[in-house]
Amino acid sequence: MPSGELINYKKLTDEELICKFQEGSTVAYTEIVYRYKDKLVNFVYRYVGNYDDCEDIAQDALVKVYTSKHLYKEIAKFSTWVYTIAINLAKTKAIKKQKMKTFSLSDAYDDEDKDFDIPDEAFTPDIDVNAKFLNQHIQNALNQINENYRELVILRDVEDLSYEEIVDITGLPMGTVKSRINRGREKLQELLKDIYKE
Amino acid sequence: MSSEEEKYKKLRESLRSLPRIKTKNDFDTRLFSRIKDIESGKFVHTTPKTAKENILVTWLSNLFRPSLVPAIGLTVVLLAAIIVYFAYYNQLGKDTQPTQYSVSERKDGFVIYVKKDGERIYDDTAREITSVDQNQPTSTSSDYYAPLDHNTDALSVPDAPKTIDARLKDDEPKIETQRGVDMKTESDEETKIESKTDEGKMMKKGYIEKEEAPSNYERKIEDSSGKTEDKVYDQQVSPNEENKNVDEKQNELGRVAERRKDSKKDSLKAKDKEVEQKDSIEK
Repeated sequence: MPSGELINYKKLTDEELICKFQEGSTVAYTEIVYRYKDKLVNFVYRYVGNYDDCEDIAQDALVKVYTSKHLYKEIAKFSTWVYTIAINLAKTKAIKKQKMKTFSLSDAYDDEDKDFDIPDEAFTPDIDVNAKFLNQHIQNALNQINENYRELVILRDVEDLSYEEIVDITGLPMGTVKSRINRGREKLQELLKDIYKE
Repeated sequence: MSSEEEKYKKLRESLRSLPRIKTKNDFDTRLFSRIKDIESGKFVHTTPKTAKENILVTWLSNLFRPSLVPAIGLTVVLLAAIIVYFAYYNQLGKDTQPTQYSVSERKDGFVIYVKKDGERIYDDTAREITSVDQNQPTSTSSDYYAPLDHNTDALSVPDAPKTIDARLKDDEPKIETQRGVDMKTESDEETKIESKTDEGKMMKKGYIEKEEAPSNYERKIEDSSGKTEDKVYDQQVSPNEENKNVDEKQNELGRVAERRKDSKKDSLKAKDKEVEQKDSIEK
């Protein structure tokens, strides 16, 4: 791939890139993947709480963008469209996982053949033990709150999206978004009260 | 920043300070290999099949969802009750079904019913004469059935078996029943009215309706000299004429009873007079 072409694509906005991709440019798609792969993985990881699943979901979302490029209309931001796809896939995956967990035969037998989720340490940054413990504690708290609150709190406080973008992504009214975010924060604060004592 | 966001400032900071999760190095390679597979058509879409399965599963799960369990239970109980009701009471109905009797013989206007073969023992009894058919020909007919003498109520107890067998055997001599009334007319003539039964297998006489009274009977009139005069009335009597006859009979009987009373009074008076005369003679 010529570097000059890449530089040109790097200057383009997300919406221009998807337009180029719709016209048939695969380089535009490569640039989109480069820009969104980490964002999507981070967002999905915070929502799902499992790294393997979050990578699969992020890949599925990007494959969906590739196969359904003609469905994007320039009435909304591209980031909104991509996050919407990722959230829907994450929810579907969570439902499937819940059903499989309900009918899992491994639950009927104890101990020996039970699967354990071993955390992948490869991606974690080089931070001290206290920070690592704190991050794990916050992630556990996020996993405990209702998924409707969790989704909005992550979009607002982790991904730092505006309320308008969240409204576009979720399709909820502004008031509902704000109230859910506040309730989510309140729940989180209750769960993390040992950290925020003062 | 609004006051709500100020309130959760520390929480927001700690959420923002969470480490960014990055993808693995082979993420792009795996992604593009998947896209190539999709483009080359290696992936077979199994969505429609699973969709059908899902439709069936969701339909069943909707049908047997917990909210419908009371309704389904009630329906099952009602169906069971209906089945038991009809199975049980149909069986009862068979037991209480009336036996049908065919007309075996017609004589002199009387219809005689005889049971059919294969009927139960306790029904092997004489049948009551229930009607007199004057218009029908005297030939036997198997199409005509007697009126039901059983209770048609399915819930009632079946009729008790009838044990009295009043049927006449072939060897037994013919019994001639006589029912006579001695009457003294004004001319001191004694009249005897008697009715004779037929020679057939008529078992007992039940009620005879006025309109269906036997048209054929004998009347024996005994003269004071002891001679009997038989009169046979073969003619068909119309109901009006018969009513008149019955009224005449009743009037005649009334008159006879009054005469008897009068004669008794006269005899008592005569006896009293005799006693008085005897007493006076003795005195």
